[in-house]
Formats: sequence, structure tokens, C-alpha cells
Amino acid sequence: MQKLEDHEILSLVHTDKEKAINALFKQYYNYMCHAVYKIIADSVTVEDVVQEVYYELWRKIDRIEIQTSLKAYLRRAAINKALNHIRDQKIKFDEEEKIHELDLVSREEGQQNLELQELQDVINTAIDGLPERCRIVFSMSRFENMSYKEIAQSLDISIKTVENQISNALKILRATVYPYVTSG
Amino acid sequence: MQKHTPYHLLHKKLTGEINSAESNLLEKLMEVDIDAEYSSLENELSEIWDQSEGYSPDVVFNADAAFAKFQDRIQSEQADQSTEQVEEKVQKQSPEQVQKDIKIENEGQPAKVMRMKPLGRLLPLAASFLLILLSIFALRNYNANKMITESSANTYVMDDGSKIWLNENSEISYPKSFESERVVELSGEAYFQVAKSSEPFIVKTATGTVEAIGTQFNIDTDGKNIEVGVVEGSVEMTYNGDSEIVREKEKAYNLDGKLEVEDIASRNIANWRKEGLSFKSDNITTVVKDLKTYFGVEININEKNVDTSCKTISSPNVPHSSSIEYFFDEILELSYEIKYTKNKDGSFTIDKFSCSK
Repeated sequence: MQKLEDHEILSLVHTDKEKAINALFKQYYNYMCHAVYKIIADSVTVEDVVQEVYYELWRKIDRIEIQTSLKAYLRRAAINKALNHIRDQKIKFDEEEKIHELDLVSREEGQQNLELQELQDVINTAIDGLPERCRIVFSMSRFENMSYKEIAQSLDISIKTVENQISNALKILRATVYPYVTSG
Repeated sequence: MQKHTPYHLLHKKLTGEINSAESNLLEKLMEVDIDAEYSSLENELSEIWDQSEGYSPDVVFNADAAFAKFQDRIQSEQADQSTEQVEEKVQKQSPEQVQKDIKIENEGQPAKVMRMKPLGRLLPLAASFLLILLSIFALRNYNANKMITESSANTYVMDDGSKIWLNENSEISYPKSFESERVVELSGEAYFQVAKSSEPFIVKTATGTVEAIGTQFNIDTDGKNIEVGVVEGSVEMTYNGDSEIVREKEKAYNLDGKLEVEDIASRNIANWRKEGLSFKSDNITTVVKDLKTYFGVEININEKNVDTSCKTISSPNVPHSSSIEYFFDEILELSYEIKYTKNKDGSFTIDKFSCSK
């Protein structure tokens, strides 16, 4: 099946709604799941969330007017649903965390500059391993380009907490990656 | 008064959120610490930040299956709705009319039922095929004293407790038991963690031989060249009549018919072993058990001050050659509160542990 443009899908909605939604699944399902997965790292939950987005779209697509591209709209809807899910889960973000200065250890001699691909792998794994709260906030800042204020509002926490989580995420990423990165 | 650390400010800088006052503060902070650490911190974090853009978790999602699920949901909803409609009609109509209506409703349904059948027939077929495949595989391995890897690495534990990590496309042959002698043959690459024993552990390759007692080392050979890196202890390597002792943090390789030995950082030895140490959703008791096995040290817990009730302990992967102190200090300490002592006999005691900082 060929890729359909936004306007083609939207006009298909009136003649064959199911075919339109099918196209949306084929073209954007993976994309949305990956975006949500960066925030909620549980594929079962991710797929449930994205299913809900499609379901709601099915119900209102003949009524709504989408200002942005379908892709952007779907992504935003998926992320919002994911954030609501997190809020409902009442994941405790608001415990005030001490800012802990990392005791920087002296490095070994003879470090090697890692190939870019290897560095990518190391960082992927490092992000996977971040503690849940850290990863959620870090992902929102990194992948959703949300400001501290927006993140704080979405999760119903203080900006200070957001700062602490980002700070911790960076420290942890650095600690994991530092054996592989040269100085200077 | 908010305390600004380089991390907060660097993040703002990376995301472009930083204002001029904070930018000035950041510059000052970087200047103040002449230590090499802070001056390269910015470079490192920028690199991490840039690379994180390419972060792509290793998961696969099936759009077609998801759409089928969506269709089921829509259809069962519509079925519910039309049942309601039929019930309404029944109250107003005669029996014959009702029969006709119900027949028409059912004709609209068949597609859903038929879709299930073909899959149902395939499933037992697939299962029996898999079973046959597995039994052939099992038989082959049982008869040969060989371990062969193809597209992925594997780890094996021998009957004396030694561990062998076999890299991709490598092969190792071993005797039925290590009781009388510990001799294996290797082609390709493997990392050995040899259990202490009076019997020397010997690895033969087409190129040379490595003999060890209670050590950890990596051998990489393609039949013509050989490279051996030692992480712990020492090995004796023989090549072309030439023999060398290779010690911790040293590697030996053949060059122009002779053996060369040079220094190497432990973390660069066998870093093809991607699996490192990581935990998710375990409590500290399980984590300690794994740490004991992984690092081979005794770890005691001071029950009074250790919070064993935390349900989730998460840590990123750490490279194999890290020490347990590195793990405690650099990894756990970031997200949890941990205090430990290293005892005279080399064992560790966790004096305090709590789940949140």
C-alpha cells in the first residue's frame, strides 16, 4: 500500500473511514510507539496508550480540524496521553532530592576515542538504564523539547524537582559514559 | 537560595534555555575549577547530548497486529450497538419480522469469525516444527564436545566453575570433564574467567597456546595471528617457540614471528562483551546476591540500617572490567544512599542503604 498524504487520508475519512485509520496505523503506529517508549519504557503500556489515541481519533476525526500535520498531531496526542498515564500512576516525583556533587575520579591513562557508533550504543544503553523518574524527565526535555516549566506543569511537580532530575540524569549518563570519552 | 551546579546550567545551555545571567554564572563556575575534570565536562556532556538524539530503543511494534486489535474493538462496539437496535425493534414487530432481521444482521458478521480460523490451524503446526528443530539442535550439541557461536556471543560455565564468554563466529572444543586436565581448543575470540585449581588451564589455538592458573583473560585468534589480554592474574603464552608471561593490564600479540607485550587499560580488554551489570526492579538483597557472583567477593549487609523494602533498584550498564567500588561510588551512589566499608580480608560490608536520596 502506497504512502498516503495527509489530505488524501482526511478525504478518505468520509468515504472509507476504516481504510483511513488503517493507513494511519501503517504510517504512524511505529513512530508514535517509539516516541512514547522513550517516556514509558514498557511496550505493553505503550501499545495500550497508542491504541487509545487511535480510538479517540476514530471517534472524532470527522469533527475536528487538525492545524498541524497528522504526524505531529498524533505524536502530540500520544505524548499527552502518556503524560496523563504517568500522572495517574502517581509516580512520586516530588520527593525533594539532595543535589549530590559527583566525586570525580581520576582517569586511567591511555584512553581511546570511541567510534561514534559505539558511543551511540553506549548512550542508548545508558538512557535505558536511567532510574524511572530521571528517564521520564530527561526524555521530556530531550525528545519533546519541553521547557522546565512545561515539564513541571505536565507532571504536577516543582521546577526545582525537574532540575534535580535532569541533573541526576546527566550525572548518571556521564558516569556510565566517562570511561569511553576522552578529555579535551 | 537555589544552588546552581554545572549540570543544571549545562543542561539549560544544551537545550537553549539558558538566560544571560545563568550563562555568566556557568562561565564563572567552569573557570573557578582549574581541575581538568570541569573543563572537559562541557565537551563530554555536549557529546552525550548530541548522541542522545540518536537514541533508539531496541523495541519492535507491529502496526498490522495493532490495527487488527483496533478493528476488533470497533466491531464488538458496533455489535453491541446493533444488538440494542434489534431489541428495540423486537418490541414493536411480529415474530417473522424478527427472524428476518436477525438473519440479515448475521450476514454482516462472517469476516470476523473466518479470520481466526487460518491462524488456529497454523499454530499447532508451527509449534511442532519448532519442537523438531529444537530436538535436532539439542542432539547435535549433546554428541559433540564443542560450542559454536554464529551471529551472537554466548556465555558458558564449565564443570570446574570456570566461565567462558564466546564471541560471534567462534568455536571452542573441550573434554567431557575437567577432572583430569583442563585443555580447550579455541578458534575465534573468547574471554576466560578461570577458576583456581592445581590443574593448569590450557587454551590451544592454531597459532599459539595460553596457560593460566586462576586468572581472567581474553584471547583473540584467527588462525594466523593471536592476541591475548589479561585482566587479572597472569598467563604464560607460547608462540613459535617463544614464551612470555603476560600479566594484569598487559596484552601480548605476535608481530613478525615474535611475541610483543604491552600495557593496556583493563576496560579495553574484551569490551565486545556488551552485557555488563545492570539492575531493574530488584530489591537490595537480590542485587547483593548478583554482585557477589559477578565480582566474586563476599558482601555482608548490616540489616539494621539497610532498607530491604525498596521495590525498584535501577542502574545503567557498567562495563565488565569495573571494580565493585566503582559500582558503589559512581553508579549506586547517584540515586541511592549507600555507605560501605572494605574489610581487611577483601570482603565488603554495606553499612547503610536507603532507596531514596
